[in-house]
Amino acid sequence: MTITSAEAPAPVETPAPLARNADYYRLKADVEDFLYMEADLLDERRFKDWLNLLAEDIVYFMPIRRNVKFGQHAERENTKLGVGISWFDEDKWTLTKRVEQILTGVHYAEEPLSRVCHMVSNVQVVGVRPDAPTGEEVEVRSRFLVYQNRVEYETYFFVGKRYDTLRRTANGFKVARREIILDQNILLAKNLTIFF
Amino acid sequence: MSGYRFDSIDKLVNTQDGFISRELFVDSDIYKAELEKIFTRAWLMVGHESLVPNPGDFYTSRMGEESVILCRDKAGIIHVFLNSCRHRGMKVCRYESGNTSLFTCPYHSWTYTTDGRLQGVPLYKSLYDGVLDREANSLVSVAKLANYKGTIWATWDPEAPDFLTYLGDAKIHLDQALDCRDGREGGSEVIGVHKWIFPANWKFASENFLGDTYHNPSHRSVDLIGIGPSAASGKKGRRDDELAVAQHVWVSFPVGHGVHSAIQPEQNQYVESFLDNPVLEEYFRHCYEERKRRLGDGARLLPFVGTIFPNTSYHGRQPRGLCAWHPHSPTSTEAWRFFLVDKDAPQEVKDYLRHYYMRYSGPAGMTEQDDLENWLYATSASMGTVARRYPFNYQQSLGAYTSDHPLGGDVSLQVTEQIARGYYNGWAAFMRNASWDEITGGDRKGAARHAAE
Amino acid sequence: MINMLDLKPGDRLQLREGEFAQVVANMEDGMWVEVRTLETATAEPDPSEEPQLCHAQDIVRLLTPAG
Ligand code: FES
Ligand SMILES: [Fe+2]
Repeated sequence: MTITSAEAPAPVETPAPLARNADYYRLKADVEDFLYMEADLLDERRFKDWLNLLAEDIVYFMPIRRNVKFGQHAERENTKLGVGISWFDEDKWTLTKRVEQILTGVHYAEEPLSRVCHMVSNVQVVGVRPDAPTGEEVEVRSRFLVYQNRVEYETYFFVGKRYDTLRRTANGFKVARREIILDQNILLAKNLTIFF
Repeated sequence: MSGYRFDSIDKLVNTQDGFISRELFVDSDIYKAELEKIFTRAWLMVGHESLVPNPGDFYTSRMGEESVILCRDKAGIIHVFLNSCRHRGMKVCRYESGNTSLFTCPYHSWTYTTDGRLQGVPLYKSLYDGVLDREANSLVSVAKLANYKGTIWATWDPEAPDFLTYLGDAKIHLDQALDCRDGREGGSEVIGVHKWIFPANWKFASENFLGDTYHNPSHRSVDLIGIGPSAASGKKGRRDDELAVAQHVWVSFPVGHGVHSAIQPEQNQYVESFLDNPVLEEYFRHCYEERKRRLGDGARLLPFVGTIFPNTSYHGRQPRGLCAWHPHSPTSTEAWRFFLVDKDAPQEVKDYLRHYYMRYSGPAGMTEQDDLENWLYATSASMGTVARRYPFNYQQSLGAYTSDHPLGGDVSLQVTEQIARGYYNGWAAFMRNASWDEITGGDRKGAARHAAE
Repeated sequence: MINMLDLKPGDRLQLREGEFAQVVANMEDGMWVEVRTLETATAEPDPSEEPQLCHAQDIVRLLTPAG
């Protein structure tokens, strides 16, 4: 894939748009339901239940965004998975550790717990792979606005895009891959203690 | 607050009895004076040569509150320039990094070459010929620059001593952070930088990294769950065990530098530390033996953390890194945290270590999140009128150190705030415009005379 | 008006004051290119001449592209 324009790279190749038929809208509604339910689990601090929505082989990635010259965005704007340092480059083990840490009750950066509200919008199903080796996979794009308020006055807004791969299993969708594109350069928050 | 006057620095910093005024951490006059008296004089770490490997490469960085350009010119020479046009001050480079032959100002198009010279001025012949001295309008350059084992340091003060004099006996400790794991000199590279802003005074971070071992309980959550390189094998804690049998030392040096290092026993053996990954275990065992072979008895000294005054810190073991705590306001700091690794380490080792670094360090790091929480609320709860009347307590291990130790400096063999007291002595010397001789410890009489007054 | 990012070495330019120049290098800052002056629109540059910077607003128009 060669991109010479300033467009940001999509994490996955974008297939041709899906036909807007009844199947598409049904699938989109299922996906939206899943994403809203997931947001509820996080906002209700049901972190262990949230972990159950993640595939064992999940890739959970938040690159650092950089200020680069026009024309170099595809190549250089975002740090890349597998290279260097990013905000998050997680697997199920580290995400589980993060949950365990909050649940110790002495993780002071989340003790007392923050109030967090996940808004998910602009949901689009951009691809379906019925024959993926581990079961049908659905490529989903969405936007997020996550509000975090801690203790008294400490408040952050995190706004950006998510590129998800959802895998269909006997127990519903599992998140197999999530790339989180936070629209900030210097992180305008002291910490990233919350999940996206 | 107008309660502070510069003639009362010593009332603010009483290291004799172990009290430091909260004004240092919240007051805007003190903060402004720090920018002037500390950040225009001290050696500051700007970056690493690996960020600008090729001619024309640049990396924008910071010194104090100000943006600077770290740049390797077309001839391969490294420079550091103030990132501000000589015409009307426009920031000439708003990219974080890249390769260029010109820094062209967006405002009126003055353009500078990579060695800082003003090369192009639009309509030069008709508007400026015979008047504008291009040489005198180069990008403002730092007064001195040092490339120390790949790390780039600079100062705005032409009178500043050379970098190694400034570093003094803290050198061998910083060396342990910068040298290869197998004992070869230098050889590290930076392959990623976290940048974020947090609402706390910059000195909380600098002081914490001197070797505030006492704050260990604040990391209890991460110790309970275990995120170290043997965590999946069932070990709790957040790090490796390599310092398990060592004698820890906390050393305070002139200028205000402070380190927490460790000295291994004479018959030192490698301590298994990377149980989760046999490749890492093998690699670090190999490095350990190599280092011992190369450095002999010197290999017993192992680094942990340290701060080079005023705002450069290192984490010398794993997860290894360098930090610059850039002042942003009295109560906010812009942190830049550089992940450091041996350039020629095997790819699997680099990959493992950068993942360890990401789960440990920075704003998403499970360990350092708790530090940031502490620094924020320590700052905000010290802003009140009443709060400011009560100084912070720095009496820990008061007097429990020796100045007669082969490591130089003031050496403590127990957890101590002596390194913090030394840091604020250095701070006070800068703030009262002490001579370089006094600051670097060459003029001990001057310092003593001052203490007696 | 031309977008300086589009200029390539060899492009011939008509400058203000009736001068001509040929692009030697484009550093892609969008404002400046390196040029050698030309006697006429079609003359060849003197290769021994040191290239100099030419600013966007000194350029009247692009003559023949390098082809
Ligand atoms: S401010 Fe830079 S050219 Fe005028
Ligand atoms: Fe800490």
